[in-house]
Amino acid sequence: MPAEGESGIADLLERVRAGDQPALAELYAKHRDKLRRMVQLRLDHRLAGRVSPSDVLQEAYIDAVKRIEHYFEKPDQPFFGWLRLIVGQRLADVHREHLAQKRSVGHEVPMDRTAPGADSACLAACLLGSGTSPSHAAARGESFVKLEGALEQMDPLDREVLALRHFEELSNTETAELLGIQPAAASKRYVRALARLKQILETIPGFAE
Amino acid sequence: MQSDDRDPLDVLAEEFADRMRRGEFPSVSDYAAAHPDHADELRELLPAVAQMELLKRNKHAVTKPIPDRLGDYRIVREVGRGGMGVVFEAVQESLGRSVALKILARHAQLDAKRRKRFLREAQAAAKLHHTNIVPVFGVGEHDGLPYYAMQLIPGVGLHALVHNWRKRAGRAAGHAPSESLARPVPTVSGSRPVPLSEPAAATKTGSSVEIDLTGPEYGDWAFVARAGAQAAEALHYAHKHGVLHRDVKPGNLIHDGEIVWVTDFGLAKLSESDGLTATGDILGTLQYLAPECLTGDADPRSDVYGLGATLYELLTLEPPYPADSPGKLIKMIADTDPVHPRQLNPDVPRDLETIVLKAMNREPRLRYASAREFAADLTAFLEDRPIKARRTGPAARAWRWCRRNPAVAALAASTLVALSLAAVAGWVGYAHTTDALAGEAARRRDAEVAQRAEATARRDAEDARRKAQQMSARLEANLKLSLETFESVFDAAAGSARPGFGIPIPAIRAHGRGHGGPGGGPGGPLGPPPGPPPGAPGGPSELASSNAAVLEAVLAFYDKFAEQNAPTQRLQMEAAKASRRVCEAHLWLKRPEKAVAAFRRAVGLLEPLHAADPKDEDVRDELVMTYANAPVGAFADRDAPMKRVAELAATDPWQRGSAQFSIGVIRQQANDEPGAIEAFRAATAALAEAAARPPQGNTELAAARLWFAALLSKRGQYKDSRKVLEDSVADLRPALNAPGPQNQTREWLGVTYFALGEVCRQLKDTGAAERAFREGGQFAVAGFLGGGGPWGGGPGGKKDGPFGGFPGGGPWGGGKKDGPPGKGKN
Repeated sequence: MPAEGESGIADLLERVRAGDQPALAELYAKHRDKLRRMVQLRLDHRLAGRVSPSDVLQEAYIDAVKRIEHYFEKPDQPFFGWLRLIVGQRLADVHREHLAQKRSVGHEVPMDRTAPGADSACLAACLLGSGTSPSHAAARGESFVKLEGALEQMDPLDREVLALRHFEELSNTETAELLGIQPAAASKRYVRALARLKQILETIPGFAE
Repeated sequence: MQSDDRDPLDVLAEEFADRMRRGEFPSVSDYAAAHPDHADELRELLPAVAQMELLKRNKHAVTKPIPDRLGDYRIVREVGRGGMGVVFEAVQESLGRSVALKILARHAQLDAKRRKRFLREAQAAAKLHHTNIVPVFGVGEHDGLPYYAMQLIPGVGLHALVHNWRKRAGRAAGHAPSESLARPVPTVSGSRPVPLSEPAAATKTGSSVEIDLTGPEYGDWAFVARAGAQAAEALHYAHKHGVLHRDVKPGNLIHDGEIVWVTDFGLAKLSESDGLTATGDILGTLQYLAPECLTGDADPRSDVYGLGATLYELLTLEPPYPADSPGKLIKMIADTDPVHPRQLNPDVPRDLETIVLKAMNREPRLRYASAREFAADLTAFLEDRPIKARRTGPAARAWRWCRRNPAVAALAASTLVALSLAAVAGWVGYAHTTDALAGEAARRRDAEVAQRAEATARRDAEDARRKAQQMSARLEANLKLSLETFESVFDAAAGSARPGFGIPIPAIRAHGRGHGGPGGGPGGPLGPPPGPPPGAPGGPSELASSNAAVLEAVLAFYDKFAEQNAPTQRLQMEAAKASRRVCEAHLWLKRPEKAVAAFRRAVGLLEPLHAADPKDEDVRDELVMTYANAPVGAFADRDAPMKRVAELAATDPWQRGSAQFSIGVIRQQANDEPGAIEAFRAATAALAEAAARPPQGNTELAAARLWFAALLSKRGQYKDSRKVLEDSVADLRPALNAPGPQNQTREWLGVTYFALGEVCRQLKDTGAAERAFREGGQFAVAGFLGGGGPWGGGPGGKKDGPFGGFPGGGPWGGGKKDGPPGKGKN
């Protein structure tokens, strides 16, 4: 969010480069909400009872402290993007640790250390999170499967754009940076993805209200 | 907010989303109006934006972290998780006592209004003080998290008990397909998945604390009844204080080794307003949800249902409805009855089964009116006293079915309709057939065991067996049964109005359906009644009008039924028959257009059937009947329907005769007496010619002759009239010795003798007249006295009666009302 003041962040970064750890903590705190949203979105729902987003963020902070030198090797990259990468890697580790070895929940977990994408199940879960009565809730159980299937057919990049813009609440610029595309392209992509989503929602019973 | 190279829709969507995140509720149409260039696209896209933003709030609320203390409460450990949130064991520090603290994490996203409602309802629940209700110590909100502090009860939830029983009974998940779903293991996203093999006690969600209980064994029916009675008393107490539980299920009943506690009063309503996303969780709740709750009408009887469903599971180890998806489950709850417990386990005591099924009746008013009555019956069972609940018979089941069938909902107004739909049990009650048979076997056993069983008891058992067998005779028989019952209802509705209608139509095909006869039996509508029906009104009346409404409603039912099923020939027949009766009803009501419409409908259904299979006698007969009853306005040519009848009936003297009879009656009413005479002559000839006569044939011929003779008398042709009546007597007398019911023959014989006596008197043959009256006296029946059928018109003074009543001096003085014969009337 550019409104936060690039200069403030630049100042803090300078202090971090000079070895000022509290400055890193302050920087981290500035981005904490966005990072938390990202973890909430992408943390596998099967882990929700065992691992809290705070745990992930805390561990990721330690990772950031350990690896801050890496950031300064390529200081022209956006700091938030770098932090998000660190958190994503931590998240991937958490998933591997908790899911890969459990017999009952072991479905394929990517072993490379990148943040889990906004997969269709996770987006579907977010989209089906509400209702007004038990019967609605029940109908949602079935809708979930359908919605998940429909989202599955979306372009993964479209899915990711929607997740970033709405669930992580990132700006178009941030989204473009993370995805490595031009802001204009990201913007077009977002509008197109919205239209796709709208179409999908219309096919899901209980959504076309 | 930057807009470099950005799609303008993107900018607007982002602004829209931002405003929602700030808690505003921007309007899509405002946006569309403010940006006419993109109005259509905005209307298309912004709702999707809104949906994502709204739904995201829930997602985030669920994962909101739980603090390690809430106000006065220090959290010790997590005890369980469920649909509502998380249960902790905690210490209330100011009082130093242990409590169960339920944090309703999932209500955190409630808006202020709902949160207030939660607090209000929870506070009401907190005021409940009852031996069997888990006391609530406090209700509050901390950091936007509503919570609920309860007494910590050492015990097991009944769901865990069932789970253990089921395991010990060796029922694998495969054996009970619903188990893994109905198992009240919390599976909300945000909970710890519990493998099936884990001890159930570890999965409890209530305010109970895990203890090792040897507990009651499965099959301890007294335990089930006692637990039910205690819970029912607790519910009754709460209801008296205006608190509904709304979520009675095994998981909300805790057994502490001695008594049962009910917990979580009034919390379920809140869950309606938030998201229950996990399938298992929904099923766990829905299994015990009363059907009316699906539409949001809960009352104390909904709690009675929930407890009934809970006891059902304790009796059978199965939830009432096995379903593997919420959608299916909802359908089952709405449309079907649960399998009777004794079919799942024959050891379940019959009375206990009856009690539980009554509590679970789909129709709230057929359940116990209060939880206390429920408790009372359970107590009666425990004390070996007779219970109040009665097993539901087919009629009641049909009635319930009709209540929940929208097409028939209109029928609720009339209890008559309950009768007609009792037969529908044949259609609907298919599934109950095996049940009925099984129940029958038990009844018989009981009857045999009771050595001093009276003959009646055995006869009842016999009856039940016959009924059950009837029902098992599949659709065909069921349809027939329905038709017959429908006909008898029609009779009940039509009977009182018929004399006013004044066109008695003979039964064309008296054999075959077991109906027919001059007036009795289900076929009555088609025969001239020998006497007036009891309580006959003075003509077409309001009564007839309400009866017609019944018939129309039944027609609507037939329509609906035909629509929902393959349009088989039989169903088209049913619809055609119903149409014909509706046509007749409209005629009484002097609504010719509707009568004609019903007539056309019947013909429209029947003619194609007849064309497809000209040899099908049922179809042809029905078609003949329909034409014979054609309303006046249906054809320009008054005789057209009868010509068609003659065509159709060419090969069958019976039908020909009956058709001619009808033609005669119609012509007579149109004052075409010579035409009528001709028709009656043809009718009696054809009917007499019919070689093989079923018993009822006598009465049909007798009716035709009576009308014939009456018309001849009216025209002064007494000799001819006398001949006709003497022939009739000669044919009727031997029939008295024929096997089968004789009442109708006797009645017709009586009527014919009286007519003969009257005619002889006119011929001044006093001796013959006296003989005839004397003979007739032997067969007089009370019903005759009022004068009815062809002879006197209805008590209301209809003028159609050809004889206009009997001599005033006779003991059978229809003439008391209608005046002396030969005068006044004509």
